[in-house]
Amino acid sequence: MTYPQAEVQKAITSRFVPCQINTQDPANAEIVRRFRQAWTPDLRVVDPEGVELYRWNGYLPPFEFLAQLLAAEAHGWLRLGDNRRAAEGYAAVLDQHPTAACAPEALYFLAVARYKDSHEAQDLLGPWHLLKSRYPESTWRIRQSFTET
Amino acid sequence: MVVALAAHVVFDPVGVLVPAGALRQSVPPECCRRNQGAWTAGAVANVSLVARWRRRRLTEERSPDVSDIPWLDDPDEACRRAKAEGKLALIDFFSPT
Repeated sequence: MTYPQAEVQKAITSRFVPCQINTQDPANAEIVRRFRQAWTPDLRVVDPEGVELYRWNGYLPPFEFLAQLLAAEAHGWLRLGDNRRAAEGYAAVLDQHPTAACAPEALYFLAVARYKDSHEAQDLLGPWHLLKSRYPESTWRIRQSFTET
Repeated sequence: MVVALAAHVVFDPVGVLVPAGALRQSVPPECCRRNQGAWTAGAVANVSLVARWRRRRLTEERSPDVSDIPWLDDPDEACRRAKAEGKLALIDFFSPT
């Protein structure tokens, strides 16, 4: 339902090397065990060494899927230490999909990526404080609430 | 750009001014208006209208699950190609229904 969308196909093929595993195929049993796979849909972003960088479960409609895909890639680059590339990805989520379910998480980690790149406190606190006004009910606002006075 | 709020105006369900390009994915077209050449979400009547539109859009978007994505069926091969192409691999575990 999501994959036939042209924008989704373009995003997947331009940003990732895609791999699909049918968990019901006995031939894939070893792969399912190796990845500790438990429930579908289950999407994993992995690095070239096969290390998992991010995952999500469950169906997402196209506009949510696109945002999650961008955020997942950004998480991947953040974990690999490419903070600038990560920040670009998080910013793209917020620019293109500001109402997506993963947008608050993207804003939280945009701050993290920028701070890890610059070590300037304002790069962390500036975006974090936006969580209070933009996504006040988000768990990601709570996770930085110790900075709110 | 900041647009003055009136009592009946909601920018979107989380109060974010939606930028051009993203607007038509998140707000009903009938709730959009042109403002100096850019789309803005300045006339969304209420949040429930947006929610109804999104639910309808979800239904309309459903179509046969076919795609032209060149899926591989081997995670190790996906990782090798990811390394060669400077990308990350995306593994989709699915269960046919």
